[in-house]
Amino acid sequence: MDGVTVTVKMAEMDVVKDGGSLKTILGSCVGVILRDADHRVSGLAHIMLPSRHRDDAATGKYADSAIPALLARVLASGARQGSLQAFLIGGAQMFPMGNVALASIGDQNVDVARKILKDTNIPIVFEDTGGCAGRAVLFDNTTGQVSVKTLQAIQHKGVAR
Amino acid sequence: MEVKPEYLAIFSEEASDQLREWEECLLALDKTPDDREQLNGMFRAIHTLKGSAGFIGFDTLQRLAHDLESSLSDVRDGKRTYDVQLGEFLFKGLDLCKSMIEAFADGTTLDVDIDGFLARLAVLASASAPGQKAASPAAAAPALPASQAPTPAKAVPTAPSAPVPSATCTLEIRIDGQPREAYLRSFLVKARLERSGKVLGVEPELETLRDGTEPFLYSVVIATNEDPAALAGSISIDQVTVTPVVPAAAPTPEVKQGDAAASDVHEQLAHARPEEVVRVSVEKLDTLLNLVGELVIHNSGFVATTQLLKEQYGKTAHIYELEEKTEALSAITRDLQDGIMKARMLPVANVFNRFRRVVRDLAKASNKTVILDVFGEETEIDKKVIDRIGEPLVHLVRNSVDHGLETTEERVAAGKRPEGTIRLGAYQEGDHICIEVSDDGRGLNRDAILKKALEKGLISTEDVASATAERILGFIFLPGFSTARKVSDISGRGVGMDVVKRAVEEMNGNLRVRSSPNVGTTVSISLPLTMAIITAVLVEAGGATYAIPMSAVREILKTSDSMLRTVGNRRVIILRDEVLAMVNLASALQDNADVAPVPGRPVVVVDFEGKKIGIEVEGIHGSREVVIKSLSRHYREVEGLIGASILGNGKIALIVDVEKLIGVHYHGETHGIGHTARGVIEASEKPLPASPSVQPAAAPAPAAQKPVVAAPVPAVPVAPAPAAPVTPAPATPEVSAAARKMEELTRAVKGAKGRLLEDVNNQGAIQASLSLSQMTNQEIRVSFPESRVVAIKDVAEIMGGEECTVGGMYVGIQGDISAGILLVIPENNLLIFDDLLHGRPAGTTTKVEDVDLSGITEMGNILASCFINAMADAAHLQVSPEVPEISVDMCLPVIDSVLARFNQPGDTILLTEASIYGGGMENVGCHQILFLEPDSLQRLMDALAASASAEAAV
Repeated sequence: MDGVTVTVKMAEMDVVKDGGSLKTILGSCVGVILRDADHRVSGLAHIMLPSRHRDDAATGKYADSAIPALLARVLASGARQGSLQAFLIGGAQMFPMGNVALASIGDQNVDVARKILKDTNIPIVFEDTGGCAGRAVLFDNTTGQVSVKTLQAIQHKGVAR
Repeated sequence: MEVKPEYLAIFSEEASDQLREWEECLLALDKTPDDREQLNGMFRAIHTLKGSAGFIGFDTLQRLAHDLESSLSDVRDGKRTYDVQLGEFLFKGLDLCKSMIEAFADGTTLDVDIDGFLARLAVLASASAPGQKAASPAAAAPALPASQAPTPAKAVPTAPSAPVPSATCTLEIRIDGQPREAYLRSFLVKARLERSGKVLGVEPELETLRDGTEPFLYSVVIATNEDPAALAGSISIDQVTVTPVVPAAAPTPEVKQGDAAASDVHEQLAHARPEEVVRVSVEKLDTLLNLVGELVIHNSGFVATTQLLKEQYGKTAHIYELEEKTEALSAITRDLQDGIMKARMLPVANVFNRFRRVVRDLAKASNKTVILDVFGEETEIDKKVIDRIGEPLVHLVRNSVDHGLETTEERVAAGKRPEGTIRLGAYQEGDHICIEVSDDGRGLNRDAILKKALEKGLISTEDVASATAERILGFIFLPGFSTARKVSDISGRGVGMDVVKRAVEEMNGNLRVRSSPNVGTTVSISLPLTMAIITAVLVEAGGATYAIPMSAVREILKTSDSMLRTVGNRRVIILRDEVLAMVNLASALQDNADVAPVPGRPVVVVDFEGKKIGIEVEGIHGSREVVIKSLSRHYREVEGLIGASILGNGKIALIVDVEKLIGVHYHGETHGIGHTARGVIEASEKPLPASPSVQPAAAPAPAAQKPVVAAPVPAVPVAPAPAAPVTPAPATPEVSAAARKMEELTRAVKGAKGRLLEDVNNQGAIQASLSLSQMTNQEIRVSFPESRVVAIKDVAEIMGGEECTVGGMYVGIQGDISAGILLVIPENNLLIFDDLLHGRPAGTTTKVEDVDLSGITEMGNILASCFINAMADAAHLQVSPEVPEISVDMCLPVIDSVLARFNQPGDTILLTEASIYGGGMENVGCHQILFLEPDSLQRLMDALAASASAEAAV
């Protein structure tokens, strides 16, 4: 793996070109990677919520605004719409047992992201979503290889009755 | 037996007071064995000692005191007489207690035959009162092996000075589930019960139940005014069944002997010396003082009206009579006010006296020779201050002994006297009382403090050159600036310094620290007389009336053209060949740019740091006695004002704090360290302030037109923008309503209104510290939560890093507001907490997989409910916690769904964060983040403001 590793933080997005890799850590957030293998351009958006709050200017947080924005950025970096592939990772239920508002965020993120990608006609070539564990994602722009790590202790979740 | 040093110090102080009382009474009884008053005094002393011993878990002392108390109670009940033999026992018991306490303070245990002593005492008791043998616990005690001797539950602090409870009731409580979990849960129950009344006894001991089998069943005797059924309802939480047992005809034996006897004492005391001492609650005195304040105001109204009548109708016989009577009324009112003020004042010796012992013990513990030099003990201070100054002083004195003073060898090597000196003193200075703690030790290491401040980003490299010594030293008062372990190598200070600062600020005082290398360090606490009458000059400025305390005024003059000059860019007055700097009052308070001086305007010349300074005003209304009404908390942020006073005509005059006002304006820096420190933090959060004039808060002038209590809060200017180069919510026309609202809220939380919220959170933190400390039997400290705006992308970094393993515990809050509390516990501390909660030595658990998450969850539950309770109490809102949930994972995944759940428009999130320290953990034990939905935050703030103004209006 050559080049720099760019860490994408929550509610942000970034694009690498000609080598390099993208890294992010996801819980209920969903990571959408758009890659054009031919032009060696990959972008990753770290999305927190499915739909944009009417009043929020922070596009990177929401699937419905972040994916179009990411698309625009990879295209601007030389990718071609027709050769784009999507990777969808994350959307776990971090607190699965109790609070409904918390538990459902991950699923909603994944659903909405999947739908938007479908509407945009970008095929999803890799998907690792759901579950109850956080994921550390490393994506190699050159090889298109994605590694997803979870923690050993993740099975160790509990809820007080 | 592990006891926190603070508790130990408090205990030592209290115990030595009680031992002294005991000894005095005992000596008196030696001469007059029939003196019931002395008997009661001794009984009370022993009883209190027993309570304190129980509180810190000093079981042997508690047992000893208990049996001695019982034998005395037989005397009081007439079951036996006080004779030489019993006297001997009491003397022996006294000596025994003394040496036990001393040994205890030194961290050792005294090897004495307490059981033998108690057995002999029991024999004595049964010999003199054969019929009462069975009823006397003193007789019963030796029959049991020492380990099984009845001791009251540890968690029953007895505070004899508390008001005598009105009624007691017994509750039978059953907690389902594993005993160990139930044990933890019982702390929740206890916390809730303590909100409704005073828990007098728990039977059987919870510790016993923890190690036993199901069911976890115990009874609690509580003194409360509440209906038992309502009380039972208030603790009906998951898995807890409560059955009231009414009435408490036969409470547990422990309680009967303990507190029931204590109320007897109170009763008997009331009969014994009704005419000598009446215990009056400070609240009653406060009420009286307030009423007298009103009286003074109305009285001056009379004076003003009389004056008007006189001007209008001349001096008729009736007006003459009216004038005479008004004057008489004024005199009486003044005396009345003085009297009530005095009733609240106590000599500071009340606090200082304890320090002889504290210093002695500390010196002994640190193997240093220390002389305590006390001065100004007779200085009188308001009772409230007396009550609250003790703890900060203990911190300061302890720091001085522990870290300030060098060892004897070091001192000798430095050419100093081998013995170190701590000076503890009080004196009055103008309208302030100063309390100083100084040592002749090594002094603070300014370079080390500066280095650390730079590291922490509290000061920028450019600012270093211009930073005053006072500002640099002031950093030590910032929370978490240094921790116990690190202090000795950086400054020798810092332990609990933020606690000191908090306490002093709460009393509306100032902290200053001066230090020179090798000469020593002095910390001065300057406290205003919270409620006082002062003579003040009433002046007119910016359309409002202000009062300038006469104590600061040198003279009043009218300016003429020839007196006014401009030197450089400063305006000055030439007065008798002296050049005086001049400040315009209205512009200083509103912090406008200086206005050009107008010749012919009056100037009040005041003292400031030994210099004379002219304050230009628009008019003078003469001098008058004014009652300082302390400004509600909202206004404390307004630099330059001490308080407000209501004038005879019903208008409000704000009282100017000359020193601060000029300090702000003239030096461009607030004078008190506390505020400087806060300024520093703010400065580090925003790229400003090039101009020091950002400091003083919003203009008080418009507010002055309105009654203080209901006045809108002046917002303290706080930049809403976050620290990082994140785009701040842009102030463009597109800024949405929601984003604007968030911005407003943020400003409100950071501003004066936020002080209310801060109060509530602090209350929660205090409760949480206590509960956790009790639960783990370790010192756990929850820092005062701070609200701040954090870039979303940075939250995980603040918690220790995106990828590191943490335990995340989430408790949702539902009801009138919607909120959530997230605890983020680093992996290693998860293990330590687990050990603490299960009473194992830290380090026993080595794998996260082995951590008993239910215990951790229970801990989170307690933390959360402390905050929830504080919120509910202060805001009168109905809120309840949801079922807590825990997840062990990488940090970022743990927090992301919670951040999403409490999403706010923009790249930032407003969160309230507290750090939890203690239990032998090197760094922050865990982070606690409180999230509030924007609407809920608004509701909470409104509710707080409403209840605060309702209180203030009383």
